[in-house]
Amino acid sequence: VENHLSNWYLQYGDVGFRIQREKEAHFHPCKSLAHQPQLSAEARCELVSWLISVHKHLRVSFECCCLAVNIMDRFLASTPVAADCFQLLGISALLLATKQVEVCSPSISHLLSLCCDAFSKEQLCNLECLILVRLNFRLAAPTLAFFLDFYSNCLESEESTNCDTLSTVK
Amino acid sequence: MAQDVKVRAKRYEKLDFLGEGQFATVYKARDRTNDTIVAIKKIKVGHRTEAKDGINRTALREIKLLQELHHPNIIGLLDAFGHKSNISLVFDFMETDLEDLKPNNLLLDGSGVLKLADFGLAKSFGSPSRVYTHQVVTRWYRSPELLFGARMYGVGVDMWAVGCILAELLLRIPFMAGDSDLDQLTKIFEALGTPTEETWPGMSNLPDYVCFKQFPGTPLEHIFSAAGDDLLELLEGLFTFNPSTRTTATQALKSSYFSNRPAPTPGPQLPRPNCPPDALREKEAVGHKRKIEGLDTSEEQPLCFCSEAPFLQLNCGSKCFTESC
Repeated sequence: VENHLSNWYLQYGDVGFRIQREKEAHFHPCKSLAHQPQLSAEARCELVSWLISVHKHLRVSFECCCLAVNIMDRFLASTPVAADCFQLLGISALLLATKQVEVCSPSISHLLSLCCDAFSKEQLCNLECLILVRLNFRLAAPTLAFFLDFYSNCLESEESTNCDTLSTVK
Repeated sequence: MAQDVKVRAKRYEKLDFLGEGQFATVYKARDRTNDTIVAIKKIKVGHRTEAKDGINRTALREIKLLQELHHPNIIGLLDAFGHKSNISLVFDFMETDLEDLKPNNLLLDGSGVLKLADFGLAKSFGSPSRVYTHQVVTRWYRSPELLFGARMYGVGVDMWAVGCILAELLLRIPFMAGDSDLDQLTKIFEALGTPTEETWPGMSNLPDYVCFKQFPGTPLEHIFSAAGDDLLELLEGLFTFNPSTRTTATQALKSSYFSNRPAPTPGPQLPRPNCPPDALREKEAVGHKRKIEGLDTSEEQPLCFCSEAPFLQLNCGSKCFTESC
């Protein structure tokens, strides 16, 4: 897999970087907590930490985890969320992210059990749909995972080939 | 949200049932806001397993990709709306029926412009794939590396599918129609010859590799006896076993087949379903006059799709055409 990935970056990395960089502006959440009377930065941090451990437990990619956080943040920028629904938002965003970038999605009952069954299936499905409507079905956000991979591949190949993109960014 | 859905649903007036696939039902509808005809693809939630997982993932991917793709040869996604676990996608209306590259997903619009449709299994190109599922592409259009279970593959799989479509256009029947994955590989090797480690390095390391009988293959000029040398050369490149040396889209477009005469027929002059070339020529000859009379049918042409359409009568010649107008 490693070899295949660095091959991809070698062949298409610059094009991919350009595409993702252009898209970034349209998908970047700004001030996601500005209109959230019930949510603090600490609570968000806690939820993101939880999502990181959940994505590891589910063995889904880091890209998927990053996408989930992006979906969550963009939803927060659009809709006030009650503190007791925050975790439900996190898990719904993760479900949507797995549907975008993973071959298989975890089952809803598994996801609910990770939230100690504090929510119902119907609540999750409704929120999933609400997220889609609020984000206007726009889920193709460039992720932190992509840029990290891209830059680390640039660094690796820098010795052999001159990586223009990285030097520009520097 | 409930309000939003109500407004969205009211926006479209269902006119006709168009067809039903494995994952979706397609309706013809009128967009009340601008009085245009659209096709609405309603994703099925019928299966219990699917309802269990919430919103249909195939539909989500299709929406995601179509939102990013704006190209004259790709079907336009006009709108998407959802309610509970239902999703409906609103598309430009096409005359021909509705991820993967196969003739069923190549549509022609009223002006004869080709549109790609059905991106449910498509994948963004902007970021690398980790592990893809190899269960993509309808079997007959599946490349040998997919059939051997390759989990990491590239744009080559689409170029193989392009080769199969091109071959089907020439033969008018599917070129290699296997009824199982193994049978598909047998059909491919019978037609093109069994590849070796020399012609396709790394083949035997693929997850589902099995050793096949050495078929000599049939020269392409014997299969496509009406094809010229330039077209055979293009097919040869598309049917290269080694995915890394298979012809790319850019290379294919530069091939002499696309620059040699005769030039392709302009889109509007292409024959369409229920619309024989004779009638089209007739229409073209009087096209200007009809336009002035407001009878230019570019708006109504999609009606060809349904059986009550006036265009259906074109089959019986120009007299009916005049009458129906």
